[in-house]
Amino acid sequence: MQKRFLGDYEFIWGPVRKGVSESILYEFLSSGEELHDLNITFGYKKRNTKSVLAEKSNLYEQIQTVERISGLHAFSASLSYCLSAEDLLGLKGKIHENLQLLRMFFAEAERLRNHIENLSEITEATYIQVPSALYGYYAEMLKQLFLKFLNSRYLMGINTISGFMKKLSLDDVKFILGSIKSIVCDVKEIIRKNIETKSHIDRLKTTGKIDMKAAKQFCSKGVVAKSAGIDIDLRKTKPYLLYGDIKLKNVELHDGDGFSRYMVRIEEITQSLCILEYCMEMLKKNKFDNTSNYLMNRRDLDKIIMDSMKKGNTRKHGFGYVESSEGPIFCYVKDFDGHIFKKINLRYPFESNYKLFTHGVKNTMMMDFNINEATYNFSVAAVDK
Amino acid sequence: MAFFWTYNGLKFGIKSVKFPKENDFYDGFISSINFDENKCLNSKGLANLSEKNGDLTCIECESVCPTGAISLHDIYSNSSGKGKASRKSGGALDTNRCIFCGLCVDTCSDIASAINYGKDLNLYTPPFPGNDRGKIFKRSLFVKHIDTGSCGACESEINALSNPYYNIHRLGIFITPSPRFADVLLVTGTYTKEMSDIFFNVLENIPRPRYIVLMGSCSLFGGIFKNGLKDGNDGLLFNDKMKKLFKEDNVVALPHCPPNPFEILNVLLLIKKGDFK
Repeated sequence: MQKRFLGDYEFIWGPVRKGVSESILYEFLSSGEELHDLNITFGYKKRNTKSVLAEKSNLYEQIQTVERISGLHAFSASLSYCLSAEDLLGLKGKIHENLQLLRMFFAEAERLRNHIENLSEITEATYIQVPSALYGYYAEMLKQLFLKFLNSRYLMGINTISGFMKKLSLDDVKFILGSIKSIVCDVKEIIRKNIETKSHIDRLKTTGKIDMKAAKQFCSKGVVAKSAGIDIDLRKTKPYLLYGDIKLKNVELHDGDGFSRYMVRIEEITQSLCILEYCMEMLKKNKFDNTSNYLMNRRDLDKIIMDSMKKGNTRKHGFGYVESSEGPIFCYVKDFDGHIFKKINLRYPFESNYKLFTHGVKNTMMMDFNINEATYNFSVAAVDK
Repeated sequence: MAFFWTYNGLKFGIKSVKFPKENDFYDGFISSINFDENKCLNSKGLANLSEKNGDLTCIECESVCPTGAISLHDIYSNSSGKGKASRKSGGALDTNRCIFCGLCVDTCSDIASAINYGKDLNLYTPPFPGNDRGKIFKRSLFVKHIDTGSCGACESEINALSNPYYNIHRLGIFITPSPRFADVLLVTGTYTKEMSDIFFNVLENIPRPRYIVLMGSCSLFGGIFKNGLKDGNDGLLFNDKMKKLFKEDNVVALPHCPPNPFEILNVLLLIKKGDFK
């Protein structure tokens, strides 16, 4: 780091920081008020995931591990793994429509939870404590709802290759949707009041501004890219599951500041609720009763794999992707030995977004660093695999 | 505007649980996995014995467990001959190794329903006997958190404790930024090689008497990330460097992946009250 101005000084923050935060090292170059340069050092939480995955003894254990790379994106990550495995095993076109709808339903539910939780963090970073607490409360309500029906607050242990792991009836799905609708309705009321809070909006506007050119240069993804005017959403551009059947509204803002990132999340909450309603409608239309037809135990899965291998439907490698709350999660699998995939490569959106974050916070106020960090919302665990 | 939000906050009302005064858990709350030996096929000594399974009728739950937390062979012995499995003392589930994935429950529900979810909060391993386990903190409890390689879910659950539902501040428990003011060190993550020196550095700065809470399966034994590699992901419960600490400090092991906020709150309250049994 080179000193650029008279009076600039360097200081570090991390890897153990204030409050409850993930381990990461920030090196700042600052004149006191203005942040002139930032270096980020990862690697403190490296868990050698690739070698851990290669040592597992079956596909179930691999799914469990993939889910726990970044706990907040467990469902999206496991779904991208399942889609890539299905691609390799030649099962891609054989997945029942209802199962695809259920996968879409819970992927959107995860997005909703993450966005509401992030709204709480952003509001806290702008020192508006009451709405932050209220958002936190509703995020907690969603987690409790997931625990009640799926036995996991983080939607872990639901996905499996060409199947579903939990017993759910149509009434359960209806109840979940009804509860989510009521939560989103309350959250929207807080959003409406919060938008009227001038100090909150003032702190977000023009903070951590990035332009479209920089966003493209750093290959930014998800919320960050959408806030800078790049409308890339795999659900629209390269539809997977049944997203191709839905006409998704463009979520795109052009300012590239903290407020735009905040607004993208708010727009996506509305969008996700529409997708949930569509899934429910389609499940009813398809006369979905319960998940018993899609429950996949070990013997069934082994049989499906054996059949696929016998018929020569398998490919050398498989590829799957899912648009998570923060951007696309790509999964590439190869070298299937009959039990596990020996090579699994997962790519999270944070791997490119953090570079843009480093660039975007330059020449911003040190006081705004918390706001910038909250609006980018990158998971260190997903980068430090 | 300050008045506006204060008014809205008051209008929202009290949403906090009464816990620990009452166990008013929400609908669908689960925190433990219970093993009912009476329902287990091995206990009944049913047919279909196979030499391959070491004379046990069914080992489905054991075989699906990704962390080896279930050991049916440890509780059943075949000394009385085939089909009449006698029981040794001890449970089938090693709670410290359980990541609460629920695979065993899902599998057994189709066979015998011997494994079910429960609401037991006392799954922690208390400090070793001989250590100071009485009430050592007079008033508020200050907690320092350190992440040694977690997935972020444990952090999310600790953060959840501050939301209006759990509201830990009402119980006099606070997260502190500095280890110098801390009474408790809350450890999450697999204990990576890169974090080992940093962990002990933070620990050195926490004054005694102190508690160390190993939170989540990762910090206990590496969780799902435990592997056969030399470096890291082994957790702290079986770590050589920790053996000394187990004698000198109060180390509490809190299992599951991630532990429910109620479980974390329960342990922090026990530390505050000095009420470990």
